[in-house]
Amino acid sequence: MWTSLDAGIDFANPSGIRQQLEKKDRDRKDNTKSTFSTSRTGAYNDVSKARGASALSKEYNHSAEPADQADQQGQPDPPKPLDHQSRFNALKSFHREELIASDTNQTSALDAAFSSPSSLTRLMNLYSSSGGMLKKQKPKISVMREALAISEGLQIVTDPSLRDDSVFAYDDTPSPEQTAYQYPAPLGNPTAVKVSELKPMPTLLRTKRSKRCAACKHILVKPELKVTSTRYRIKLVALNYIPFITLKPVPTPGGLLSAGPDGDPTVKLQPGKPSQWILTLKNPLFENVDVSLGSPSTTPGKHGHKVTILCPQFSIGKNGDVWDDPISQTLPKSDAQMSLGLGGEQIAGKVYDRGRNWTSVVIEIVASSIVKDKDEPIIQDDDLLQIPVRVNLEWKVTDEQALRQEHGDKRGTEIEGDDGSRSLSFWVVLGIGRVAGHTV
Amino acid sequence: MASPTKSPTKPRADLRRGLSRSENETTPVTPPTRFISSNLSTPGSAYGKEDDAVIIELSPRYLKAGIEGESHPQIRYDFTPEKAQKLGDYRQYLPGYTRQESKNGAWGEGHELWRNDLKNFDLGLLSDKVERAVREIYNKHLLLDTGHARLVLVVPGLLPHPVLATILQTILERWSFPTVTLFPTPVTALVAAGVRSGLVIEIGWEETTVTAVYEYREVFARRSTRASKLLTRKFVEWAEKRLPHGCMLDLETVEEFLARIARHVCDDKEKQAADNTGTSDTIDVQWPTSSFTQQVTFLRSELKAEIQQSLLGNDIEEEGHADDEELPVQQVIYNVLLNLPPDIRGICISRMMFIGDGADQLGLQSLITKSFSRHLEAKGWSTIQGKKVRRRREGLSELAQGRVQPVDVRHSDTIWTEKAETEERYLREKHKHIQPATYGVVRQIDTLGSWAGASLLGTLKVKSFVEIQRERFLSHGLVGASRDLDVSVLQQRMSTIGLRPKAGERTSWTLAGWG
Repeated sequence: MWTSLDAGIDFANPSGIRQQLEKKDRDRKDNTKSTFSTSRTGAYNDVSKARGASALSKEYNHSAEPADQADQQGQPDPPKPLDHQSRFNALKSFHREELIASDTNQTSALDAAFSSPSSLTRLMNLYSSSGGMLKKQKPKISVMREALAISEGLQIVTDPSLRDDSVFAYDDTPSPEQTAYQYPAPLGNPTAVKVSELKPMPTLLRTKRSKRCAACKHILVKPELKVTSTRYRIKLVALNYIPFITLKPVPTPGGLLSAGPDGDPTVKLQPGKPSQWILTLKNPLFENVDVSLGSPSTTPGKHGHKVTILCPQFSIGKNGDVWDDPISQTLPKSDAQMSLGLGGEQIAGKVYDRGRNWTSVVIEIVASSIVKDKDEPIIQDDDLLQIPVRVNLEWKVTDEQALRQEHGDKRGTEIEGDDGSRSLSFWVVLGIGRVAGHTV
Repeated sequence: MASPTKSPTKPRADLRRGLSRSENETTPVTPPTRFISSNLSTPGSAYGKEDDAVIIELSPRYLKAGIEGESHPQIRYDFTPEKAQKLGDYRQYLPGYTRQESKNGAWGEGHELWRNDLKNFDLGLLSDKVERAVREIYNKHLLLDTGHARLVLVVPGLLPHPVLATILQTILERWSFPTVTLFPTPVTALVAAGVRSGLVIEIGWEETTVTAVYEYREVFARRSTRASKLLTRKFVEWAEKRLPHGCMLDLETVEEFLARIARHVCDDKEKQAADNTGTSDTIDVQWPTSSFTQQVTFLRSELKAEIQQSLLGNDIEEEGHADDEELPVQQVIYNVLLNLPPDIRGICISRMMFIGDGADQLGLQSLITKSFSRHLEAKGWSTIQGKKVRRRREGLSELAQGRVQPVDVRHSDTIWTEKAETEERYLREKHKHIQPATYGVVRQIDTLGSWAGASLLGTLKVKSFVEIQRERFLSHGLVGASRDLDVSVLQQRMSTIGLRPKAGERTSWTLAGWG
């Protein structure tokens, strides 16, 4: 088992790992780099040196700078290039100061932003310059200047051959997955060149989200606020209200075997041969539902496969309790069902099979052939056979309490205008399988 | 184990800043303007008015998003064919999965968000990909609500109009952003480098764009197709002959290899080669094949030659036969600089910077800069080139050397020189604090990237020319933009005098550089 002691990292206490790592990283960087002074005088000298140098520059290479600076101020080391974050901060402060200095807007009292830096400086100057009246006011520069030195954020690219690099090893470079994992920076280091520069990343935290209906803003899903519980306070899932649809091939001896949940890649439909499939709808509601199915006779798309639904209109029983069935006998049984054994008859207009809260109908599909030229680009899933079906549901809400709840508990014996009939339609895409095709 | 309950309204910005180390500012600075409290507005109405904007940088291959004020984006979202699959399609994790990429499709088609050639391009797919990307970064990485914070998009300067219209339509229709601000990539890269003008060379996926920017305005741009797409395709062609059979040569493997070696291959390390011969000359790689990996050895020199050839061409003499869009990169730089006025040219040539995925390898940048310097030395700045011209110029220079006598005294204008002197002295006094900047030498500066530049602009509360209002765009589309660039300038001037137009009422909006 690997511990961080193997890498030489020793944590003082078990909490705040990230802060301790950052501190170690900073100390390590400070030891290798020279002390970059953030004091005002240091920055000013840096800039003035830059001004002097640029006036006569031939090739402004920052390696020429250190010699002069070291002589002039006795600083031990030249300013080293900043890393990304400190450069960003340097640029930000530089630009902000320039904006203050060059702000020429004469703001009226009406639209003065009282807390803006520029107006504050103006006010301070007004009150404090009474002491130094003789001091000449700094001229207002009309144009912002650009960054001139490293302290202001400028960084000139040096000749890479001057950098010292150890011998290159391919395995030392990070792979794209490793660099992609380094986001969000600056917690990570996405510009790492070597694997040793990669930083350990904290796990991405996930969130619990609650969702509202886009139209009526009713809360659909609301998880519990407790972090460790996976339950939901409000959970209105569509599958609890619409029929559950499953598809399987008609069991014929020597015919297609029904595929497992992931789909069997070896089961393929033969083009041109009609095949029959059983579509089962299971009703979750406590009412009988009238269903009408519709589907275009040819599937849209590049290859039009022919689809026929043998019984487009039928009804499904309600999802009552198991002992309701023999007692109430509300469901009309069709003649076809009486004579059914295990396999039903595939007659147009008759359902295939029926149960307490489910019904099955037969769909016949004739796949068209998929012939690809050699030169055509291969589109993935081009041979997939999917059919769109429009499902239209109608049912009556008989339960008085549920009806009153829907209307918001209105007082009154009779809720006007509502006899409890509801209807819903939606589109469903049924995936059948793949078509056996061959390339020319 | 009860953790101290944090208030649920703790802004996420504080949480993040607590993790990263504290900024060490040089001077105490008042916090940037959060709200404007004036006599006319009611107190408390400013609560939650200004939020940190979300900055998204768009490029054909990826999308970088984060909150303004940060120096790095929060997430980089790459577009791959796996990301475009249906929800619940986990076939990429099954053993033995290989992506079906045929040779007859366009190179890297599933990986790019848009192409320049939009003939058979499905804009609906583009809008779906953008919608899914934005949804994922908001819900998974940024953890924000869309529509509350402003949105800033950083897009390349040469973005096709249908693509721009589709992206804006998707974003504004689906989510309730009040405005979308656009920033061009070259200008934000300049801001992140700290300069006001410069030459931005963006080596992207499909094209390399060289833009000259002066005083934060794009002045001139040229593009060439010598970029990552060409580089990887040419590399695949070369590697197919070179590598043993069975090695996988799809886009991701090739890109990974190039990204990891290019920095070290393209460095001019002649000194190092002399020190340790043999170790830096060959590179041993475990190249992935369809079943496992295979050991492959490359020579540094041949790799360098391949990369150099794709981007920089063979030599100077060949360029006469290349199409405008196939010019090697150093030529494009030269052409752009040639077309600029001399003073801008002098400023821009000292502020060259590289951005884009292809330029992340430092070795490439120095190659290009050196090659450009060589090209410049050979050609000079004259627009007329050719063998005859060169011969005549040589003849003229010989003549000039032959003439020894000085210029006639009558031709010296003393009056004009005196006036010029006083004028010079006046200008010098006026601009005493403005020091002459570096001018005229080939110099390359480093930039923090266009995303960081846009984040800087956001913190400094700089407005862009292009601000797209939601209702206006949804009713008119891109056509509603006015072509007059000076509209917003007039508005600014009006606001300084005091006649500010009513908030929320913009007379028109413009697409500035994209229109």
